[in-house]
Amino acid sequence: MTENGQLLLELRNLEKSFGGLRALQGASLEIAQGQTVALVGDNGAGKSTLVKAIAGIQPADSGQIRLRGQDVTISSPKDAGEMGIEVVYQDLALANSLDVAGNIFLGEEPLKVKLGWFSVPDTKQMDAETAETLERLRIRIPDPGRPVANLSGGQRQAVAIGRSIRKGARELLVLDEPTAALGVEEVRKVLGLIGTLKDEGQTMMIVSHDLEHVFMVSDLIAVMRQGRVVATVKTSDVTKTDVVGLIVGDIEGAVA
Amino acid sequence: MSEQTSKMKQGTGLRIPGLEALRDAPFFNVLIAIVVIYVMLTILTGETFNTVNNQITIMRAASVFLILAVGQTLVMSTGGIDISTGSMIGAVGAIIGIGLESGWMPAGLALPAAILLGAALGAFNGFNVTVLGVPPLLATLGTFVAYRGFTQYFMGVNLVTGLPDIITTIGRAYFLGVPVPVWTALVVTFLGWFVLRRTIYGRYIIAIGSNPAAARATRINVRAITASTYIIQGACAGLAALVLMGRLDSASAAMGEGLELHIIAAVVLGGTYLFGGSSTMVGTLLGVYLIGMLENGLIQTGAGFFVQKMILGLLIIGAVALQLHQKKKRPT
Ligand SMILES: Nc1ncnc2c1ncn2[C@@H]1O[C@H](COP(=O)(O)OP(=O)(O)O)[C@@H](O)[C@H]1O
Ligand SMILES: [Mg+2]
Repeated sequence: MTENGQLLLELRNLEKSFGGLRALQGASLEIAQGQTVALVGDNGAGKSTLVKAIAGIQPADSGQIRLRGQDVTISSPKDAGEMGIEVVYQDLALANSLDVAGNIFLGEEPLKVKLGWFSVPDTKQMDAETAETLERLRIRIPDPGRPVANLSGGQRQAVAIGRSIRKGARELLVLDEPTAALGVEEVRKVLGLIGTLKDEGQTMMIVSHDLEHVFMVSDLIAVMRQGRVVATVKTSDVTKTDVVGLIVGDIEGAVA
Repeated sequence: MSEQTSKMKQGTGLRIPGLEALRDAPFFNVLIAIVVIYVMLTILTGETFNTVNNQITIMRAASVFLILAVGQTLVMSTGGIDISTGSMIGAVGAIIGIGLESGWMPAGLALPAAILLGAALGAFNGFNVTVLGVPPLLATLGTFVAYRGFTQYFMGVNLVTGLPDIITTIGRAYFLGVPVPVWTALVVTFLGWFVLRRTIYGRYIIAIGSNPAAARATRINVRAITASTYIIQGACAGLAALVLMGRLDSASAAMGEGLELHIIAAVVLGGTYLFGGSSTMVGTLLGVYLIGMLENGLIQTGAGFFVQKMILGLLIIGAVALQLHQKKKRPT
């Protein structure tokens, strides 16, 4: 990887409308290598729409996305994946009946016998790589061979993150509300996991409602309001009250 | 849930590993039902039920159902359903039957032709479900009516009989003391089990049934895989049509009528989840046997055809209700 601090992703004037509703009205954002940027804002501010534009699920109508200084077009999740951008969605998109390895490798299984659709997956390799990934992320799942339906919310979140990591979020890992709908202890574990990734130098963008969590993990906070990023501040320079002010619009932001 | 079970298991003081695994198997219910009903029927019929010959009779009758149920298990894994199986059998039987009778179909080609024809009928179902987006129940209800209509239009009141030896062999011959249709059905079941449990295809259909959005977010071609389960179901129907023709040594416009419910009941009784994402081929095998054995036993105890139908209908409701109840207790 290249050195920390170098500009990784630039979003310039992204616009996206749904009929008459302008969900993104010229959103711009810069993320540097190795940074953890928290994206905050009121409901409907456009956070998820921005994430979906980066993920290629709902490409923006206009504006530019530059990755390491190069203009790129992201028009499908596959495009994003090939560029090294992975997104962990809010709804914990796991297949309940499959086990941990089955979910982590879903659609990209290593094969023992190659026969097109009727290929036989190499479950030994899958289990071994899964154990490695879980260990690297310091996730403990007592019985990874059972269907993930039996796992707790935090473990499921960990599996979803593990899946993105194994696929190689080389450049950017985007987490949409990673701590929503989790219990206290589980939140602690997921935040710990984010910390582990940060120590490894993973660049991350985290969408969250919870300012407490945001302050615990982020380097920068980007505040969205009405489809724009109205402020980007260093987490260490502000208080929660400041950020709340930026979110509701009592404080006019300046892009740092 | 695992904590609860282990507590319960400790409570019994008896721990036999094989038995514990069996109790967690999705086909545990049907296994218990088979044992209980087997004993009951043996008592009720005064032992005529519990003979090797009678068991072979049950299996021979069940073989056509089993071939179809294997395809249905794959369809249901994706969260789909195919109620056009009986009509597909009718349509394939009509075309192959007329083809053989009028001489334009060489007898040697009847088997591959039947399978391909069935696959084509299944492909139409798959297209309607995945490309047009018609819900599976309605898409296959449509072809349930349409394929039967075609068959009646094409065949009228004709009855094709005196089929070539190749076909009656498929339906009637024995190999190592076991009817050829039973061998055929067991081979199909093994293939189905292998595909479901050992290949990425099996994983993908389970993933699709379990969480379509999750499957779509991967590289899995959800549409093509889903459509293919209907094609496989069609191919199974084509094969089943030929087995049935061979056994009856005839084809008529009514062939296969009413067996779709049988198939669905057997698969659900076996432990495959009606709404997809969880399925078992062993369970399907047991479910087919359970229904076959019930029918056979009911005839021997003197219950008529209509009583059988009532019991079959109620059995489906019971099986689904039980499944939903257990699903609530343990989210799989
Ligand atoms: N697919 C869509 N169709 C129509 N409107 C949408 C769609 N997605 C988002 N919106 C609208 O765009 C605005 C921004 O939504 P969103 O990005 O989800 O906000 P946030 O994630 O910040 O709460 C909201 O007003 C929302 O109703
Ligand atoms: Mg949102």
